[in-house]
Amino acid sequence: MKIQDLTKAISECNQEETLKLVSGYANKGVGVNAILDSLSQGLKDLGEKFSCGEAFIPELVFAGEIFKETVKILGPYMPKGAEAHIKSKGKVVIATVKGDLHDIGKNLVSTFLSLGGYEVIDLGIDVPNEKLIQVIQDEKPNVVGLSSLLTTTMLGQRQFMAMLKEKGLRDRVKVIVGGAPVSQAWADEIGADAFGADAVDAKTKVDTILS
Amino acid sequence: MIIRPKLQLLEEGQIRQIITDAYHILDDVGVLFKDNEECLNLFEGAGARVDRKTGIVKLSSDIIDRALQTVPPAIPFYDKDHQNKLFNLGGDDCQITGDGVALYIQDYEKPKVKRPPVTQDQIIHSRLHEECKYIGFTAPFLLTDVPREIADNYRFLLDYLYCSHPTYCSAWSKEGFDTMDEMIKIMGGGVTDLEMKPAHVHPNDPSSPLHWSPVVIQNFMDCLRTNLPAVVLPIPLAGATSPVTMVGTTVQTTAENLSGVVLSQLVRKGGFLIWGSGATAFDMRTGTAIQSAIESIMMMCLVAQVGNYLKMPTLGNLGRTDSKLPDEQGSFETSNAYILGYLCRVNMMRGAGILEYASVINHEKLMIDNEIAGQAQRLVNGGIEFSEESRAVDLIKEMFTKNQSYLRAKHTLLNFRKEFLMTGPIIDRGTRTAFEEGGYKSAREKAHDVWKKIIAEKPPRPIDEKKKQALIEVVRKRAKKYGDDQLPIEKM
Repeated sequence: MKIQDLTKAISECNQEETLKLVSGYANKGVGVNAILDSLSQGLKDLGEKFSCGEAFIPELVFAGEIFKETVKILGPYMPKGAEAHIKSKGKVVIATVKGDLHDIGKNLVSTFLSLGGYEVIDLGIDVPNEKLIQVIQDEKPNVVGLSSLLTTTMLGQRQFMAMLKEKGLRDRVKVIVGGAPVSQAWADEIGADAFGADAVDAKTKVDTILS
Repeated sequence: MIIRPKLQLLEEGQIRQIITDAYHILDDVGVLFKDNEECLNLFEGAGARVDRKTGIVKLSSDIIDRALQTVPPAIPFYDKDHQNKLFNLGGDDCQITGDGVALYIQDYEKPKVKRPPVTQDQIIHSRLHEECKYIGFTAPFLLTDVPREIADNYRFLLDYLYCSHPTYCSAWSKEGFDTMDEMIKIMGGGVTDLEMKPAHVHPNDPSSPLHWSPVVIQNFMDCLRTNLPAVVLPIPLAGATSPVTMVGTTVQTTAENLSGVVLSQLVRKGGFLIWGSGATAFDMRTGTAIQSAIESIMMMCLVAQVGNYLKMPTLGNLGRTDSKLPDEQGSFETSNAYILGYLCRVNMMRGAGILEYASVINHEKLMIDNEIAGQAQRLVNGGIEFSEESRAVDLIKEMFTKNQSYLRAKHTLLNFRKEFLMTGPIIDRGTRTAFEEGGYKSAREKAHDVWKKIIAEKPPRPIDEKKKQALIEVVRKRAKKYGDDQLPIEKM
């Protein structure tokens, strides 16, 4: 089932209309899965517009925020196991390295991955490598994304790669690195699987390394 | 409140001085109106001192003042079907215009060659104009696959068929003008209020210094009679046909324009008129008329600011380049002209899509100029919003308190499109990776790709078949006189 007006509302970032429709459909007994399908289609449409240069970052971010609010509304209506319906293309843990407080780029990557169908665990900024290792062991993600904006903090990415090997986890997770001073050459040097030049590129690279 | 940046090149008192000087010239030595009894009669009837032997007309200040009182301060422009209003020309509103004076066209594949343009070239150029959202007027060019005598009407026909934007286009003879008038009536579908819905501009060039030729006088008066907006467009060469000083050229051009203002209002009170200038610096090394020198741009802005002071819509030949290719020089010269022209409020800037002293049409240049025009429009038309909403004090406090990114704020979502012009596809703001993956293309190469894609993917504008056939019939009738029974467009 497709609920066209809901798809349209979220793809146009119409927060009020989207939330009103989601509440309305849920109250009328429309299935949660059908509602989520429509919302996902709206996000997909918006993503396609972005790829064509017709939609822009604030719209993607805002649509993502609206989607989060709809999930909260749908919580009480969700039958057991319905969460699994939101099919994930994979799990990604993302963080800015220890000593670095920048998060705009990392947040954009996080948003693009979420909109692209990935389950994203965003650990925030100034994240110690030890914490990352712990989360990898607990959450078993497919990919780790590590951001660094400063030449002084990018060494943390090299140290993370070393720690990953040391703990015997290197073969269990793919690693993508990014940030202003980071390059493909740097990614090759430290043994990362991919380099994301920007948020769109990062999402594409994640698709590639998991394919 | 939107603040629209403005640049005033001269103080108000200095502009008044220029106007006073022009009044003195018109009163003391006058202007030559050659071989047109009808216009001399009009001047004489208004109290001007007319020398019938020479055609020199001397104008006193009261005659000029009277004429200035009735010239409309702005002109509403409609699409070529005279249906939908697009914009007002005048005041703070500016438009970029194509340029049709070229005798050649340069192909992307053969940049060393310039060749005479033919029907297919005009069709492509007009279709591209249709997709140029920052260029307000088209200007069809001289085509060489029809008899020269009818080329004015033929280009007008093709441009109508393939672009809905208003046109800047002249006729080259009385017969050509009458045919153009007939065509305009067909385009307007015979509506009775056609006069009030202008969709075309006709340039009329007095010959500097202070001369009007018989054909130009005739066309000018015919424009006013049919209420076709007319441009007075003196094209002095500073140092050759006007004083070498910028202000001296502005004084002379002001006198030439004022003589046009008087004649226009004698033919038709309230007739649409545009105050123009094609002033160029005369290159003392090569003898060429430099279209894009900073001094040429400054002179055209100066003349326009005199026109603006007199509350008239204005035009300057701005945006042309002297470069032989749509290259770096071409882009920065056009950019200089558009930015300054917008800041100085030159209402019509004519010069998009043309190279080499306005002699060579180039499709890539048109595409690049469209994007430059977008930037200039953003500067002035978009302006700077100054309001409680735009100052965003509460938002700054809120984001700091919540430690949140502005990307997640509704304020960003609601305002980013009007604050930031979304450029492209030629202007490159992408990453190095995207540039590499896109094939390391220069602006010129991308411009070529862009127009090729438009022609391949965008259908020509819809056109009423009856109107089309009626227009072809009118032009074919003229072509037959010169030996052509069929127009090239009919053979395609």
